[in-house]
Amino acid sequence: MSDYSEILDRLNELLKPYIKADSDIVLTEDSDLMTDLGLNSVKVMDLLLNIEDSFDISIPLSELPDIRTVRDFALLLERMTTQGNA
Amino acid sequence: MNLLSKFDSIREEREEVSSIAGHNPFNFVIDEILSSTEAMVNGKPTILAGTNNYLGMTFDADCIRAARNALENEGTGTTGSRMANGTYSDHLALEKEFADYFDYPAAILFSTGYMANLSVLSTICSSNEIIVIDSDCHASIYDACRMSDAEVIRFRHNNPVDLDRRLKRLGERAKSALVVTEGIYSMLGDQAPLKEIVEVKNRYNAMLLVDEAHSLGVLGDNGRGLSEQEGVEDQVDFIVGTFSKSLGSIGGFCVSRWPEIENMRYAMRPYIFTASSSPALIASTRKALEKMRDGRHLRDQLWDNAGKLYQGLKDLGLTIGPATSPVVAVILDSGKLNALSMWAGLLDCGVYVNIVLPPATPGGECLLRCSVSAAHSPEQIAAIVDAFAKNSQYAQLQ
Repeated sequence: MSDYSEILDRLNELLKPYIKADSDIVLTEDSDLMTDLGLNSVKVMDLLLNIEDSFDISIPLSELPDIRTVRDFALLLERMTTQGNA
Repeated sequence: MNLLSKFDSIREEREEVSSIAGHNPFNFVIDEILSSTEAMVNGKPTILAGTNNYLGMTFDADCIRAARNALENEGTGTTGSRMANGTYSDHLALEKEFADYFDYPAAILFSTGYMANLSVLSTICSSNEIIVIDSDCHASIYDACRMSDAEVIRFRHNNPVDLDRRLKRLGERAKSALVVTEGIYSMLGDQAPLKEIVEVKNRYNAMLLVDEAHSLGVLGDNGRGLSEQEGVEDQVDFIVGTFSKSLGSIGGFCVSRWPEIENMRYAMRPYIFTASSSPALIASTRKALEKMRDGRHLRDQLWDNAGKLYQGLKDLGLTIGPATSPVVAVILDSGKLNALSMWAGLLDCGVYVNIVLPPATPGGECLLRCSVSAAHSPEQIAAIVDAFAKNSQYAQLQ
């Protein structure tokens, strides 16, 4: 079980490789994964696999349409790691 | 702004692609089809190297004769669902022939391969059950999963260790899981590590569905696909495939070692609410299946052609898929502009291949995807390699 701030820190670390080195993007909880970070659907799916490995969970694909921002993702991870997971 | 405004970006992208390539590769038109490997395109004879026509069956004289007879004797279409007036004796005969071919007790036909996946996968698992798919599975499998009430999770492409980890996480629920993989993957031509996947699914008492769309007629002594080649057919629960590749027509099928799939037939909405395949399609497919099961010489020719194309492109220094396969993908990390220019250059040289752009590609790179046919002549294979050589400036050579 992890608390929200710990999850957010881990998530930010996992997101860093997806941000171009020369980019001036500042990652916040409100950052939109597609419009702000420029992740296309392939990169989001790749990111998802890395997050699943890191948190040792499997995220159902049905959860993805509700994930737009870093905060959405962190809240999902908080819920899944708290509830236990498939 | 109206409902259609959100598609403006697609128009802009199509215009950009057309301006680069000179033609729109996603609106490619065959003016006249000449044979299973050649067509007239823009007034020029063009070798078809991207049609998935693995055994060259589309112009087989026996298949054409069978289709013509059915057309004349049974009409142009059935005008009905299999559940209503759309089951003719030939539909049942082909189902029996598929079951016999795979030595399974049950087979169901569908109007397309896409509909086969949509029908089976959207129906087989309910809300408290799980579908576990390879992350590189075909769009039809993803679409079917969206239609399903089941929980859907993915495992890393061709990675049985990751599959094991995910089934382990499910605990007792793994017994209610269906693992989905493909025989040959359509984009890069790589094969699933099926023996290892079978071992993992057996360990957790899960079920396994293998989509043999690109491996039917291509792998195995009798052409039954990767499951036959790997000797695991008795442990695969469902095999799905299409008629629109090695069999040269249109349609799909599912065979199973579980006779209970017959009970599923009328629970599958995409099966019920679609007209059945026309008599001509069924007749040509029956003949093609007969020729495919005895078609060892076609498979040998296909693999000989595939080896020559794979080696030829490799010798040019191009980055290609991981292993020799009837799907030979040239991977371009030199960007969309170069990929489109190379595709157009190949067409100018009289060679058609598929172009696949991100995000539709694994790894997010551009692909120029060739598919080889047993019907390609040695001269055509050499001409394909030569066309790539003449356009190699668009690729970063190794």
